[in-house]
Amino acid sequence: MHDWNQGQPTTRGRPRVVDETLRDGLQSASVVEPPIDRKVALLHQMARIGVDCVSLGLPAAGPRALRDAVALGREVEAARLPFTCTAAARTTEGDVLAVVEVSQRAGRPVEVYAFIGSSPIRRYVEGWTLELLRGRVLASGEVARRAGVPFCLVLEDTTRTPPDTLRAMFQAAVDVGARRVCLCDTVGHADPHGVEALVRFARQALTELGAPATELDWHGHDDRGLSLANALAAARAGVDGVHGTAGGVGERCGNTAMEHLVVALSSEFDRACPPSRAIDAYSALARAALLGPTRFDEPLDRLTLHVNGAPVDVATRPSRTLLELLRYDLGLIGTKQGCDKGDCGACTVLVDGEPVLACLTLALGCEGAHVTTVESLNGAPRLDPLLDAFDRRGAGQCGFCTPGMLMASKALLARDRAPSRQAIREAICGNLCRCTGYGAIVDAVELAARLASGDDPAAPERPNEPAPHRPYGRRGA
Amino acid sequence: MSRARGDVRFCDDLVLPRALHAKLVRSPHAHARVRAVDPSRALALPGVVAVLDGGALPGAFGILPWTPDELALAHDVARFVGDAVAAVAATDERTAWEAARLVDVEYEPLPAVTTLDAAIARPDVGLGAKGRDNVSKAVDLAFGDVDGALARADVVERGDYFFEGSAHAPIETHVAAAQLDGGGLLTVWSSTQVPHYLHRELSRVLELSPARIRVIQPPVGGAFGGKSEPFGHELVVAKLALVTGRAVKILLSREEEFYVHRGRHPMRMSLTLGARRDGGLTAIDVRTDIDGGAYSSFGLVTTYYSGQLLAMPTAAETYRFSSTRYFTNKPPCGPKRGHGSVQPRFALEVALDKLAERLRLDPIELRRRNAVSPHSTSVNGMRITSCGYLECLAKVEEASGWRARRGKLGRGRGLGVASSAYISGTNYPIYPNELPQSAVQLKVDRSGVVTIFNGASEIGQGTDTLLATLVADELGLELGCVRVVSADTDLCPVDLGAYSSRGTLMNGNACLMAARAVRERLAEVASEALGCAPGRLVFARGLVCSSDDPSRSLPTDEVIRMAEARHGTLGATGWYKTPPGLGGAYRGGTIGASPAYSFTAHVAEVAVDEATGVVTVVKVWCAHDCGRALCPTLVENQIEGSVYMGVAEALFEGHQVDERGLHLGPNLLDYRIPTSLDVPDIEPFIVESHDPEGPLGAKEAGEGPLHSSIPAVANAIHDAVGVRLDALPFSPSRVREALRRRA
Repeated sequence: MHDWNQGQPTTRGRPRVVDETLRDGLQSASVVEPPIDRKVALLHQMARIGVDCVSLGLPAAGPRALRDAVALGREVEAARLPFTCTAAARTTEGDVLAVVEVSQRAGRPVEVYAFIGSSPIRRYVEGWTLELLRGRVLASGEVARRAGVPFCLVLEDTTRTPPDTLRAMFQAAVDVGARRVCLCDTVGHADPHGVEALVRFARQALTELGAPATELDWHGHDDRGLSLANALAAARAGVDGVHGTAGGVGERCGNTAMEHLVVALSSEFDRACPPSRAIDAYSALARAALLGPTRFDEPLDRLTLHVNGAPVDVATRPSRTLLELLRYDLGLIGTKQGCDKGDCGACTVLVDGEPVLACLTLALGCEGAHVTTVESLNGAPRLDPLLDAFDRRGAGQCGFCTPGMLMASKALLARDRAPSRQAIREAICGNLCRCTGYGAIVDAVELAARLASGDDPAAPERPNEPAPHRPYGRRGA
Repeated sequence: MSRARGDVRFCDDLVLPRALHAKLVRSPHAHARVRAVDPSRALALPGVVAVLDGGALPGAFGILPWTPDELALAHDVARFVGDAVAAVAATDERTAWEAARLVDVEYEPLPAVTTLDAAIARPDVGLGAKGRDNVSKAVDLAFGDVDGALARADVVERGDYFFEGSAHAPIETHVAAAQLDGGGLLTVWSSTQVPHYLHRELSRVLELSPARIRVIQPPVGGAFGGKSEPFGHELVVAKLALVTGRAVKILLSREEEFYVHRGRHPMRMSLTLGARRDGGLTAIDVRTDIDGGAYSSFGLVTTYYSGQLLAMPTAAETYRFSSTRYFTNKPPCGPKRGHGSVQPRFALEVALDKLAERLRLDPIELRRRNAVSPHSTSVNGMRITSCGYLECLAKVEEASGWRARRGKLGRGRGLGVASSAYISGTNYPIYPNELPQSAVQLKVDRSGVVTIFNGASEIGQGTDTLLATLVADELGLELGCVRVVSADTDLCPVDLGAYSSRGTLMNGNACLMAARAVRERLAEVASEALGCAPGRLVFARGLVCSSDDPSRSLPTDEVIRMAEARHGTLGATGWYKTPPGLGGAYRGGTIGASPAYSFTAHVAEVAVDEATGVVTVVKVWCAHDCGRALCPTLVENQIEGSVYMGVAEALFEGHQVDERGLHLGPNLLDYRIPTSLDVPDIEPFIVESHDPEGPLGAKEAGEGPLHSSIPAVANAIHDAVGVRLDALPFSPSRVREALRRRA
């Protein structure tokens, strides 16, 4: 048979393959968080298709994510699976510490993949300066360095970032002793030619910075369906590692399909092609794990947590959201559903003190957590100052967003006892209100902070108190 | 009555034992014949109890008695993507969703029109009542010799304007539930603004006596006009409750909310002004094409409102409008806060700004010279009573530092003014009748508590608080001694609903009438006991006392018991009927007639980033003549909320539907409503003009203050960077485009 591939440049080397299914894959809006035994089964199958490195998850995402990452790391260690391990973190000290914890509890090194965006649009939206970005990279990298875990800087939107900014980010990575830099998450408009140019640029920039040994990874989303072509282009341009996920599942438009990636790489690089039966089994396991059981055979899972201080022990299904659990199973109807997709904030509750969107939080992810709902504010013996202040200022018209507003404000006042008006606006900016224009709400949170500190600006005249106790008049008739 | 404590129980918080969950199967086609509905796969799913198709609810319905053109479930033709064609009821919500996917519907796609141009160019699509064109309603009215006035005018200002449609986007989506009891009473709960109209349409479509239906409206989580007509899903849950014998609930998803819509109509306007050199306006002439979406809704009224409400507060000697509403295969439009009049108001107020520029007149001065007067009649025959318009202008002029600052803020920063007028309820009800438009009953308890049974719909605007305040003040009770039971057709007398800014004036008057009747009874016994003429009594703070000697007093509850001993159980009814004979003596002259009009003026300050085209509204000063502020906090809240919503439409919002009839972003991420970081500083001013028609002089405050916020922003952008934005929203790309054209 004639081989039309003749004349293709021969490439060398053996780029390592990184499986991101249990991290990026789980960020897909269409998958469920699989139980740990399914994750473990998939982990074993990864070894059979030649994966070199496995992401254990995003341990800072919550107690369950941490627990699973530790369990997966221990499994790699115990079963002597031929992997190196990574785990994702935002470039914050807390997130990196969560990876360090995984590393320590699993008893093996886990490389920190710390991500941050640096494109102008992202920086504009977040209000990030270049100094702030550099500071965050240095600070989080330093945490990893002190803990003795390797550090990789993941640049989330590399293709949208101008070269001089990229150079500054590379400089920060080099300064903090990063082992690796990972390109580029969202790929956007870039095609294989663009990807090659980007990789060459990165390689040259790192060489110019005196760090030619800093490795490069490619983690590219499936923008415009080009993920596999872009991944191959990156490999040809000389990256040291290429990422993929089972079936290409992942956040946004998805990722590079691992099943295709391992085959495609084997035809050009010094990698063996895994047996097709192993690839099929990998796909099937991933499908079973990520799509979850259908609703009718979903197993009940036991869940223990604390809600408003009281222990709760329930059996629930893996697909149940925290919002459904609260409203339908526990009767806590104070928490509202406004959009059921994380856009409006009406379902905001606190999980371990942090505001979360209950509609996007799986109930089982709250194992062991302390959940606080709006019902906690009205509890005896005392009215929460937030309720008092919202009431006095008339900070709700229809009142539907109010429970979420109260809980977002509660979290703010717990960490900042005298927040500025701007800080209040930022704290509630994920909570949509359609009635007030927010002014009264900001006023009320400001007032609540004063009330909580014992400073009552207007000794309250309460005009709506009912008449003094006088049972049916003077004669008690 | 505070809703700010996070403990309000909304319709979806209702728990009904063994309730089924309903979901609707919606058309994926913009226009299609429904060939067949096959429920067999859905019915085979465990947990599915019933599937309905259009045959189950054959009666057409609609809010206006002249245009009932909706079906609860389309059984012949689906007219927009999202039109419901079948319904399922299942034991839980997820099963219901799954069952809805398993209902097999066979469609035959038909040609569709999804733009105004297509609706005009393709009459053969035949969406109109007689199938010959796509016209929903056409109105042509002229007052005076407009052509002559324009021919004689020193200056003629002509321009084209476009107002993008927008959605209400209340944070609570539509919810309804229904239950049939053993005695044959069907109870329907719904997040509606119009329980009375729902009651009527349920009775008509279900062919069930109204005496066997009870409608309860629980507290509503925001509406803004989007819940002010009967909806198919309300009829569907009621029917499902009758069919299954179980309670049934339906909660629309956020995506469905965007498709069910009834939002602000897109309007394309051509507006011409004629003026003398001294600034006297001689003519306003406006031609408007209205994109109505798939159904009539309030469309007939919308078409009139697009012109009838434009003849004040800045008035010309002659006035003409010609408006045509077209059907399109898109989500149906309806009334949104400032029904039908926000769009032409934008065009007129921007045109006035252009005219002022050409006449080298201050735009506030131009408005002043053409202001309508109190106790006058507008050119189209609308009777104006109180009018605080000039005071509104003066307030915002002074507060914004207009004279010192306008045009002097430097490049990229500017001030703009605009003003408007709005109705305080419609003088004539939606279905012609001689009955009261609003009514209350007061129950006076010997414990000293007075309960107001009130038909009006509390939707967050504060009617319950307002009525309680009126009664508490009239009877001298503490607010905590007044309870309000509202919007329950079994418990409360009829009120027509929360729309057209009617609550304060109509419900307030009804309530005041009842409270005064009770006060008369109490005054009679108190005056005898205190030895004081009834006219010299003061009712305040839980006491009735003599104004000559306040130490001579009785607790109000004591007086109540004395009156009860003499007269038997105390109580009173109160109602409100509009004054007869208002409006113009011509066809359509009753539409736009109101017992009283509110007036508003806005000044907006903007900052425009010329590099990015991003407009930031820095501050808005809004003065609103609400007659008298019965609850100043509520009035201020309404002003702030209106301005916020107007600025949102000015800068962000667009209910955009593509040529296939698909909404471009039916969620709160893509349909961007402002967050706490996107809102301007708002300074509200209350202007009190003491209207003779209003309860204690009060007029509306819920809708008027939205109108002119939008043109005020447009005019401020012109002051800042010298470009005119004649199309909404003022997105960065539009602003950049305008700047490019200027360069």
